[in-house]
Amino acid sequence: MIDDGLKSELQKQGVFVVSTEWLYNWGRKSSIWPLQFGLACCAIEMIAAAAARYDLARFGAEVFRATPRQADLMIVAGTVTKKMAPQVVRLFNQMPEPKYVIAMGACAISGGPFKDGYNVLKGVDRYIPVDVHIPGCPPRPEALLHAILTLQEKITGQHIDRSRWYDAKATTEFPIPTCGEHDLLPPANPEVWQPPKDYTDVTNAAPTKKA
Amino acid sequence: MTDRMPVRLFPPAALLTSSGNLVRNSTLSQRYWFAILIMDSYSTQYFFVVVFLGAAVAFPLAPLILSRLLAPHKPTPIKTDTYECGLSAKGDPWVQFRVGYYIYALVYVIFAVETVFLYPWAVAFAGLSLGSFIAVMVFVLLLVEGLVYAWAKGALEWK
Repeated sequence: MIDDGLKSELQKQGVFVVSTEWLYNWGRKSSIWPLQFGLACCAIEMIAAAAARYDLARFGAEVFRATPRQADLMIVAGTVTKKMAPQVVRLFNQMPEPKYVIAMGACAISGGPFKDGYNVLKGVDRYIPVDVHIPGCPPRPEALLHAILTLQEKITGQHIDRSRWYDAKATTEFPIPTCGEHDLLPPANPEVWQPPKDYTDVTNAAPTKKA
Repeated sequence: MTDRMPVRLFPPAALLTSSGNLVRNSTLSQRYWFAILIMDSYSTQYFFVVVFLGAAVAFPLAPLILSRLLAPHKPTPIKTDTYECGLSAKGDPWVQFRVGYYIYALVYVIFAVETVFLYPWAVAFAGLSLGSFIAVMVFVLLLVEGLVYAWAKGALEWK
């Protein structure tokens, strides 16, 4: 291990000394390829972020892949309906590790203005682990850029030796919900989401017979 | 300028370089005969081709090998599934197409070939002789004959 004094001394001479882990993370954070996948109006803001005015390419994240096989990041941009939720989870399962999720907008976080809808999933984090949440309805492209930068920060702090993706025993597949009679089954993945203690899901409760 | 050298895998008896200098078979030239070959201008050009070939093979191979070494390999049934838009695949991907499309493709060939030949002919039309005009007309007639045959056989009707 090289000490910081020597490191900065070398840096003054134009020699950069970095650790393998830094190089590994730098490579990963500089080329986060998102899945080309939009669900609602947030996707329009996502497209704007990728286009010339906001230019997501400055952060190496402009290569939207049309297949989950090549994607590192899933930007859940929009309302996740209960009809769509199984597909979202399936696509996330098909992405190679290491993979990340950004929940973009109020709908992806909690159901947003459609939270009371019978057909809307109340937050995508009930089924897949979300790394960055972006509030807003819809969030502006700058907010998405901020989320990408936040994700880059998270990636920089990760360690190879403690990583989930080289751990053969770590969970790689998240169970895909099925459409039940009244709600998705199961209504949430307990591994990634636990209801708050004072939580009662009135809108999702199965109808009870009146006494 | 002698630029053709006998290329031999063992140390040659004597080397004639491009500048016309004869390098006799001394102990030095026996040891460094390959270096003398490289210094020769004609061989130098081939040496660069060899370097280029090596680089051309190494360049795509390096990321393939690196990704094999670094990428976490975690196949699961869902990940290795056929289809990629989020839905599970249904049915057989080996669908059969109607044989009628095949006949249409064949008839299309008549017009495709005709266009390819007639365009350059039409561009140079003003400067062509009567003979070349007749030659192209024969060619067009041959194709028209094919079209008439296809028409008569009912290949232009969708059944």
